[in-house]
Amino acid sequence: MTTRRTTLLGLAGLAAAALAGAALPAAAADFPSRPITVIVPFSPGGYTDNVARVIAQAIEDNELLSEPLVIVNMGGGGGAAAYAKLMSSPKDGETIMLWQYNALIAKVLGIGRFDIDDIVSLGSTGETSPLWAVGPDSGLTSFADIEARLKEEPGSLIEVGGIGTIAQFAGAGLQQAAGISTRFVNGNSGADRQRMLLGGNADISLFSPAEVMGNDQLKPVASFAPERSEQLPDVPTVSELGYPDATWVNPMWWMAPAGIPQEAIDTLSEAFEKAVATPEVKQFFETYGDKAVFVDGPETTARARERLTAIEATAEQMRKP
Amino acid sequence: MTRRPHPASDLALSLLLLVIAALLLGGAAQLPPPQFDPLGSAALPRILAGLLIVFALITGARAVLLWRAGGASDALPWSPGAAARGAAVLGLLVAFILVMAAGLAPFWAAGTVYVAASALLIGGFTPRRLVVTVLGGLALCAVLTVVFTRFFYINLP
Amino acid sequence: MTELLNALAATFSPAVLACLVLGTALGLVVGAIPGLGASMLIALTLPITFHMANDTSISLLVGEYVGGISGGLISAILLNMPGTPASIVTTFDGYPITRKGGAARALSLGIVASFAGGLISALFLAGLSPFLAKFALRFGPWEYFGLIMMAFVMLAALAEDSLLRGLIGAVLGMAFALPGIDASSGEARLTFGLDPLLSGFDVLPVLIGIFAIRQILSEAGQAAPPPEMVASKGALAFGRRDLTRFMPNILRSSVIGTWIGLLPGIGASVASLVSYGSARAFSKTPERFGKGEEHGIVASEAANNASVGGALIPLVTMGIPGSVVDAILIGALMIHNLQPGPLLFQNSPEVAYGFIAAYLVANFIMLGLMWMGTRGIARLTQVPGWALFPLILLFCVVGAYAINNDWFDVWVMLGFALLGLVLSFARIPLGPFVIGFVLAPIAEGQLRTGLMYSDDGFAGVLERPWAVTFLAIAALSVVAPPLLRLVKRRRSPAP
Repeated sequence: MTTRRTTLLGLAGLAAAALAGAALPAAAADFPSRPITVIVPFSPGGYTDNVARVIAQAIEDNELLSEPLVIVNMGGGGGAAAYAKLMSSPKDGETIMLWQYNALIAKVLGIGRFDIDDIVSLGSTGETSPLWAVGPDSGLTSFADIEARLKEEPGSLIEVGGIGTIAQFAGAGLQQAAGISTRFVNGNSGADRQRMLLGGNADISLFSPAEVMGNDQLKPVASFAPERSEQLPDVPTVSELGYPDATWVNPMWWMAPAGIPQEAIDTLSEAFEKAVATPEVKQFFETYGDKAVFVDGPETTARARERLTAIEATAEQMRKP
Repeated sequence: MTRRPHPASDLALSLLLLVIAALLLGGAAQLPPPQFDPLGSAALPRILAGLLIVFALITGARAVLLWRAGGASDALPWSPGAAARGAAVLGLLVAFILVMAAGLAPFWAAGTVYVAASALLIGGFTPRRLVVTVLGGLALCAVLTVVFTRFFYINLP
Repeated sequence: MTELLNALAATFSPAVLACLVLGTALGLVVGAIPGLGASMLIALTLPITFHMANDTSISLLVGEYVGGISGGLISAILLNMPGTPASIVTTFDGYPITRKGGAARALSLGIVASFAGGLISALFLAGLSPFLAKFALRFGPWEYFGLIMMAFVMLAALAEDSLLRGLIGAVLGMAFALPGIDASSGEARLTFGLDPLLSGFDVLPVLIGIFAIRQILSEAGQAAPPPEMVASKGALAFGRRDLTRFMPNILRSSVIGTWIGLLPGIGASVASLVSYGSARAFSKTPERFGKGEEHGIVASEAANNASVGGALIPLVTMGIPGSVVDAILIGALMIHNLQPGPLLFQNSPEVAYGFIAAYLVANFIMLGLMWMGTRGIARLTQVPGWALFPLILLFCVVGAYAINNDWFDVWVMLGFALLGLVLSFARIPLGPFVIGFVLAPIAEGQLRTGLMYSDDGFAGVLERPWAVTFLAIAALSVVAPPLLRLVKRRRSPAP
């Protein structure tokens, strides 16, 4: 018995070793030489995942690259595992990632190893700004109502959002600017935030424009966008309300490990820029109540650095009792 | 199964519980104080660790009493032969995963070799079985590779 | 109502029906294979639906969903390998029946119960959905916490012979759910500086490690197949007498399942646990549960299928996804430029009602496919281990890898297989372990969210009558049985 087993194991090992020689990758001559892996640090079906898939589809349908983009979802863990996978991949531009400002929050909170200096931005395709909305049972109709209630009695309104997410930080930035404070309760997913507002278990939460547009029960009172959105023209921006510092724009941020060839950066950026201009991508972003705009790599990095400073300041103030 | 197992297995269990409880307490000690809610992130690990320690003491004490009373049988919960074979199946699985994770061989090849090898290991070697499992394994791995790479765009390495 | 009828008529167009059948069949196959599951299948077919019309893509995805959750009963009953948390409870009675030669009977019961559960929840979905959804939305963190506590108490029923060992299993399961980012504080907890642990242990690798891999490792060690395993006798059967016998159980379990499915984020495993526990409470022979009681299979399968229909209610009426699969369905709608939410009924009623119609028809297709296939499926128990086990192991590896495209999950699966071996040597039941693992994060998160509402601490719960009711039921089910036994013993000496 034992001898047979060892021969079998030996055979398996030999076969594996023989096959290993045949499996060496061919050297890349032209970029891209094989399908490009796009790591999405979220589960399938979310906003970022949908953006990645729509852009990938537009690139394939319009032949903007010679190879397709392949979406690989790695959800959970604040993107730490996905980022580790990105950084351990070969620096050839054939493994890239689509992330957003969650990356910066993870950095500020010390989750994972993300660092702006370790990556190169390939540009951003489309940006989205959240809204503050109130529930049907809150008795509130405008941001002025919220301010009045909270100035009179701080913490008298319940705000729901995911702790350690954009929903918490964007809301906190606005409250710090306005000098108000809600009572914050945890609600990790968009589903939690919606059901708690609609069921009267919370008063205020942060939503994406699409969530508000599909639901007439949620009343948007303030938009974090720099300008009013075309789809929701009646919602004032935080700047109009007097708190321009609370503006929050979340770009769909394409990145790769620093050190990939310049040719790859240029090819990919160009493909993204053209993809954003296609009608199908434009229509997609309009459904979401967002803008289909392309921002190039260096500018995306510069904005991210600014945002990082702002998040650090917000976090600093949040820690104060 | 009706035979009473050796109390040593209960002692080992009690030790395992204590180790896990220690890990929980160690991890909980590094957590910051509660910030958003009165319990904080360290509360549940501490509660669970406490429960595990209580359970460990009860099982440990029972095992010792049983041992002293001489009510122990010598029956191990597994037979040495079966354990060796199970370990061999596990070893083969680990080897397969290692080969795949290191990207040493394409999926269809490693998968076929793995299916055939573990089938023969579990069932014993006959020439007919070898042919059947190699062909079956090859067909399955080919289908999986095609389905995953062509339709789902998942790269099986 | 006319809109629903229109939508139903639309599902009988050849293309839509073909997609429904294909989706359901795929779902059944994938659901039955340990290691793969409905959520993986749906995530993987999502890109394919980009190029499809609204109606065909919805019917494909809904078919996969219904098929996937139903297919899980096959491996749960025949192999004792639940493919999803939803079918863990099915294994408790399904596998013992299979071992005694009743594979075909157990499958018949499971299939009929699944179908009935699906049908009843579809009626709720079609008839009362906006009203029900509004009521369910009133539930806040305290109610969720109370409900999970009710499910936890059902664990006591699963503790086989020794309560202590059952408790050890449950607490260990909860402990292994701790590593990762703590959702209620955003802190990395028990990760010991290891980055991969930040994502925690995914449910699927834990489940297939503990059940499928562990079982194969321990059975591969035995020279012969399990001696008690008897060839499946008898054909598929579900007669009129069964219908009257199981009807109260089916109705009760389906209503419980629909109800729990309505609450976003709780999941089918709680639904099957709670209905299992209540079936046991209503039973005249509660001691037979866990040893091959037919009512156990019926309760679990009716409830987990009903919870799928229940979860579609907040999804279709409010745009609120109740589970991972539901979230992917919402994503699929968005990619087709549809906004899920209450306005879906106004803006695209054909889509909203199409969902309901597809769900209803998929249940019939599931019943038909399963009934045709079961005779063959039941023979699965006679396939020798050398042919079956390597294939299952291969699927488990591929399945675990495909969750996150990461080998870490594969190692997690192996690690939990070894842990499962150790625990089963120490006679720790694994059902409570897995259920503790699945429920602990929800219970902890909801409790801590509840505590954030006020400075009153635990007293906050007193303002929530439903939550108090659930907690009281939970407490009663712990205290009542021993008390009743005591009363009975006192009375028994009397003639």
